[in-house]
Amino acid sequence: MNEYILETKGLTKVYSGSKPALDTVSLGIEKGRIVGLLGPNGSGKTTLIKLVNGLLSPTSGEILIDGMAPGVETKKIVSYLPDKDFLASWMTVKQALDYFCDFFADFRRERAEKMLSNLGIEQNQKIKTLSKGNREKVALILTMSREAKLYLLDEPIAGVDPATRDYILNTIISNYAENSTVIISTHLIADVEPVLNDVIFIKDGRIEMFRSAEEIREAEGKSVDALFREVYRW
Amino acid sequence: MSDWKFDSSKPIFRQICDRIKSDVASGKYGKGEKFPSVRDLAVEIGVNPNTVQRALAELEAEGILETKRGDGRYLSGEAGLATRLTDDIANDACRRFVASMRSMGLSDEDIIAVLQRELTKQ
Repeated sequence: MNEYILETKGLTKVYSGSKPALDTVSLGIEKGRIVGLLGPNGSGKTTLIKLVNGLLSPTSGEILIDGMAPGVETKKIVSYLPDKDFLASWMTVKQALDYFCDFFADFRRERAEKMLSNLGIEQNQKIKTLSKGNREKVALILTMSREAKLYLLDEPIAGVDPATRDYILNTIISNYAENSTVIISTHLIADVEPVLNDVIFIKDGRIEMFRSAEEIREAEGKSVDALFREVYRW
Repeated sequence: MSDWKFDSSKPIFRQICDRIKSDVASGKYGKGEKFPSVRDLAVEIGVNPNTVQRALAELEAEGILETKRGDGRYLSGEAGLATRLTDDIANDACRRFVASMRSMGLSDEDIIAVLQRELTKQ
């Protein structure tokens, strides 16, 4: 058994001879945690998530997911929600469900269908006719209806109204499989902080801090949001 | 989500403990009543399940909740539990009140006078 669901060692990504987007990042993320990957735009959050997903290759360093390098085997246990619309707009909701069924053995269709019908989203609706809020919800429902070991959610609450944000956070809490880990990248700290076990502050491609959220409140007497504002003051 | 509000500059598990204690003190839960599961409570109040788990374990250690093997948590059947918790909460609030009055240099007579004034006002 691997202690960590995700481990990186000296992970570095340089895009084009310029400043590294990620600079010798070494991390060990445990099982059964909800982890906030926190940093402003351009700090390296999405680069890290794409490396873990195998969508980018590291310039140097190592990534291990449940002890394995990113590849076909790790895609079976990683459920990824990209920061942009990823469902083809011509698809109907039903076709999107079919697509997830075909691709992922751990997809629980009944669970997804139940959540969709609770929201009053019809399966014959086309993705492109859904409101922005409902498109985000459908994408999240599909992602969270997998029984994955690692969920990677890239900016799941950016640009949604407060009611949708609450729905999204509730869906995450009630659906992630026991002993699996959820990584949520965001710059909206105050909105997610009650949900997080651990927080990673990332700044200019480096890990500035990796601590338990309750420990920050206990030791510093301040919220994660307040601490974040101090670390990122400019 | 619900009417749970947290001060995010303080540990959340402790705020959950305090809130549940005051709910028990005010009789919101019946003696020996079954308690919601960790996950259900986490969803209801919008916090991390591990944080809820830690709060419930703490309440168990204090004898307020009991685990029945394989059947989740129940409110303790302890006689006089609500009264005990009401006393605890009242004593705590009193201790903080007295400490803050004394730190401003009020004498015991002044403190009693302040309290009496407040009580007659309401």
